[in-house]
Amino acid sequence: MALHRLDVRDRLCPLSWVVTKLTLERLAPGETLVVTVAPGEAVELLPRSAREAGHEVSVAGTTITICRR
Amino acid sequence: MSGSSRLTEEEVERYARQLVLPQWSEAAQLALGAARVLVVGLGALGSPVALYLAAAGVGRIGLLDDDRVERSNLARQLLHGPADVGRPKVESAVASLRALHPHVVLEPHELRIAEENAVALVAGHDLVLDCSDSFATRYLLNDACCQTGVPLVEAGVLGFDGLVLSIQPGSSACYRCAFPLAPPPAVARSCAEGGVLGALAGVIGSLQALEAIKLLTGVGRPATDALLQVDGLDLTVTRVHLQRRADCPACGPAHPRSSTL
Ligand SMILES: [Zn+2]
Repeated sequence: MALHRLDVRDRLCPLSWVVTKLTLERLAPGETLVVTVAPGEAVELLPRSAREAGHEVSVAGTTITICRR
Repeated sequence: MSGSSRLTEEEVERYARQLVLPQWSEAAQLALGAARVLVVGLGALGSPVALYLAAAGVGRIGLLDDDRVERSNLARQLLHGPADVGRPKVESAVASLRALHPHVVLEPHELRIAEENAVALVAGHDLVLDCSDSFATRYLLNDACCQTGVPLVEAGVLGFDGLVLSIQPGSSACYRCAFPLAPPPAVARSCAEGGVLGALAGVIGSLQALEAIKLLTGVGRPATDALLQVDGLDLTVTRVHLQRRADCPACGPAHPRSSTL
């Protein structure tokens, strides 16, 4: 499976999640998206949004790895 | 935004608060952008309807009304301002909607819907919103939508009461299924004679816009086979279940739709 990358460090909430969500919609189930977020609230909010949407999420610092459900 | 398979950067920002909804998606937003709707009547209901549909990103909006703006419209018809008094409503509506959303395609029709033109006006749209204030227009639009298969969101306000009814011709109850006969003349006052509070029309028109957005995107469940009655004085909402009538002259099997197109 291909690994996809997305940088949302210049995006504020809710756009950081909107852009991530739209990118995930374009992936096939099981594909992985690695998102780089700015330090701050996105580190907490973005993984929470992704989990609520049913995706599998792991967080390492400001790198958030999301496996599309 | 027509026919494109991706939203532009500007659209992603503009629609961020609806794109973030779990039930929403890029596909839903693109479906709105590709949609062509017809708003019949640009008064108390047509104002919130057209404003919310344009704001939400509906791509093409037909605007039909043959009236001019009067001062007595201003308390409830938010598309029109004091400087528009005397101007055709379609013109003032185009100006307001253009200011709100520069990219929406607006198709003004300065005319009255009648038996001769109803089917031709309705055809080619993905959805029609009846924001008129006459029973004659309701039946005309209902019949034209049943004949062409175009979904219709029907609504009305009078006094502190309002109603909303979504119609998917051929699969859900139509306006004639719900009201086979026009009310007697004593009850069939038009909004022009009866009083209407703008805020109530705002509620009903917003519900109508919400139903249209759901029907166009497939998000949620539209209120088909149901009549939503809102009592603005007590703020109570009643949902009445409707059923198609086998003998309905508009949508019944005796009158298969699109046979006369
Ligand atoms: Zn019917």
